[in-house]
Amino acid sequence: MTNIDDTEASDGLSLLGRIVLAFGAGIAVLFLAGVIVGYVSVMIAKGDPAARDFAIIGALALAIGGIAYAAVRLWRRLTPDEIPTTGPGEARTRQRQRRQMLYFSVAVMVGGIIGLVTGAFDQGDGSLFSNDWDKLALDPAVAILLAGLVLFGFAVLPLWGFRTIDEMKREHSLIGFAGGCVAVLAGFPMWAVLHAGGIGSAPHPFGVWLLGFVGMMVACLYAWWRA
Amino acid sequence: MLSATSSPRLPPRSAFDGVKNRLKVLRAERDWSQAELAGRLDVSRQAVNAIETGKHDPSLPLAFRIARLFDMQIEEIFHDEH
Repeated sequence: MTNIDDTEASDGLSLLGRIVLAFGAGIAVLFLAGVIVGYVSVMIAKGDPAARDFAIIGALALAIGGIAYAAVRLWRRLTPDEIPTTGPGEARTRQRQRRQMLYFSVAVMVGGIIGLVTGAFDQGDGSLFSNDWDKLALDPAVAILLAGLVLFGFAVLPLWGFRTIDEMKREHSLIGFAGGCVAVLAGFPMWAVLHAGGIGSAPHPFGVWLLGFVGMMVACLYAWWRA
Repeated sequence: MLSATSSPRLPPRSAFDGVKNRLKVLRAERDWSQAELAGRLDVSRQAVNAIETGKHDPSLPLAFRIARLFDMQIEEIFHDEH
């Protein structure tokens, strides 16, 4: 039996999903494009570009391409009418996929907003995601807003997502969290003793955060690849 | 200390891996896609695929859900070869 209210709700959700997807992808692409422009302008001002600079720009350009590709792929799948219905199970699966797309769109949107607001309102000379984060100077109201967004993007959203995924993805996520934890547990002391031996710079907060984040992503990707 | 001869020797870890199952066959008998089965079990399509290919062993609650869905005993769907 077809429930008209459900159909209308589904269409509304699709529309909302498209809006969030377009907004999130747009902000993310704009943010990354802005980073590329800024990086290139600094590179030109400094002169003598290194291979690492080109690699970073290439990676950023690749990320833009990835976001654009993902947006196009997700956009096509957002309308339930485009996919033939064959059973109640498939309808529930599509609902799950839409929820997942909405989750990723909101995550990208929050990340983009954090980057844009930080860049636009920074009165100092620092960057949130670098070694010179302590040179950031923000208005207290903006700082509170950003702290709230970071809490939402890095704690509330992942924990909510963790509750909605199935047991296999939860297992992958746990492997990812363990990987991040192990990376910090082993990485920080390694970095510290290497620095004590005159190898590399002193450990800094963003580097330790990055260790955890990259460790988590690598472990999660490994778990996903194994399955 | 237990001697090597008196201690029970466990099979290698890999011998426990990959519980076999008849999920793909049962699904095909009902002409269900992976997405259809996934929706009926309230898991992702990737999870169904991983279970069918033996890359993921379902939890006991999920195994019971699968058994209920096909109106069978768990042992009729899942088995190991040891």
